[in-house]
Amino acid sequence: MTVSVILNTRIDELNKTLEELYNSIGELYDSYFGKFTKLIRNFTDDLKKNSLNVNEYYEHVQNLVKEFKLDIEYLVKRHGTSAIDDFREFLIEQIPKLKRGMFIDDADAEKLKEVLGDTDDPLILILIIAKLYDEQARKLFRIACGQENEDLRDAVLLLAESLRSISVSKPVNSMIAYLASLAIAYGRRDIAEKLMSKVGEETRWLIKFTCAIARTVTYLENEGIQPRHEDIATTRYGEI
Amino acid sequence: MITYFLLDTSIIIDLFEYFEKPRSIQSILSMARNLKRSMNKKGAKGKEYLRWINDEYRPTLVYDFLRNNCRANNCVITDITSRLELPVIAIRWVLHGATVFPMPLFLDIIHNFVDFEVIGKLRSNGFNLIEYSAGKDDYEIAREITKILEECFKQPIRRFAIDVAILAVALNKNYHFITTDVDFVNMLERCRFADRIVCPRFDTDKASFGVCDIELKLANKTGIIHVIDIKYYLSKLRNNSV
Repeated sequence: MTVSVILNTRIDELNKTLEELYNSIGELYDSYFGKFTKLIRNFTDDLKKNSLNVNEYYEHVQNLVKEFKLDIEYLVKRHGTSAIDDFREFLIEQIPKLKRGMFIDDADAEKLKEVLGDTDDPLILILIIAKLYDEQARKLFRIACGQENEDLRDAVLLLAESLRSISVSKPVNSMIAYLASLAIAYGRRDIAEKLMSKVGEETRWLIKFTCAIARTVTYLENEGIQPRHEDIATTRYGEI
Repeated sequence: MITYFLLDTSIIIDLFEYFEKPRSIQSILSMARNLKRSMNKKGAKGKEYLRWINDEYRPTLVYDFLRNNCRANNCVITDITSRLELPVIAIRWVLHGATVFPMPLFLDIIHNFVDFEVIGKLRSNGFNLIEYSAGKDDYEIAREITKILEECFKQPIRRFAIDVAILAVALNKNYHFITTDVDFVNMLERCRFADRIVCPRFDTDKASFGVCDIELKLANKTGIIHVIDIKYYLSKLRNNSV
């Protein structure tokens, strides 16, 4: 499969192409990191020209995340406790982007706006957004592991990893996973592996491990089995 | 030297929970509302927040931990988990919600049960888990642990039979024991098995979020002391139901 075919491949479960997925997630990241779009443009240009230096991009990423806007420590340091109103406004501004990214539909967007507007605890605000990304990441992991084409599978899986990293407040890992995903879409698995190793990840293991569990869970669900943590307590200690 | 991690059954369930179908935004928002309501109650703030965060992120933390630590084909599961506890739990899953029990359903269950081999599925899908068969020496240690527990509770202990057997393997083989079973860890602490509990992140006197290291010591009849580290992912917020 050539590069352009992968980018234009429609992912049925998402009703969008891989390229559209990159764009919608990139648009969100641009709000959080600043200059993200520019970084991506340079990165894809360098990939095409075959002149990419992994170390340089790792440094770029480290510089970009210095003002990561979903990090509570950053907020407190930057604005003190009065940061809450600005932060809430910032999150509300992201809702249209979340809609475009198909993270949420119109009805959910309205509810989200209402809850964000009504919440004055920065930790709860961050938790809501983090959970949104976490849920989207889980969804993408499962979709990725169901793809037959390996390049498409791995590119989507690394995008899921990028969202997951945001949700656990690891912005460097998030951006690196996004870049690694792009590298795979452009046929440069070697670059993807080098990038991921910069944040201590082995790409092959990450894919193998994640898909082993995702496929087992899909199998269980197809068998009508839904694992629950409570079942252990009941089995071990009796009805609670 | 390779570090081996013995995974409690609770860890396998957490892994599955992480990959369950994603929740709707309504349920996320409803959780946020409940959290807000709880936090408005006097004195409940930190406690409720941490309980929520622990419940929500426990599967994520388990996924993270295993992904980072099982790369060297060094994660172990006992046959107690794969051949005893998981099949029993599987029957519960299959039966979940069934109030009437007609013969066709029963036959379905038997069919599913024969096919159902969770650890085998994980392995055939690419997650290499070493399966360890517990033997006589492991059960010797399990008996010693049981005696100590019975002294602690002043009565025969049946409720912790499976956990004790798995823990005994960890002690005997010097594996790190990985669990998220809050009742079991509470029991270890209550009976002074756990000498040292260190929760490096988000630490408060009553709750913790993240990975806790627990140093566990056991002296057997000959005076040899087994020491292992437990990685423990839950807070101690819930009431001890022991």
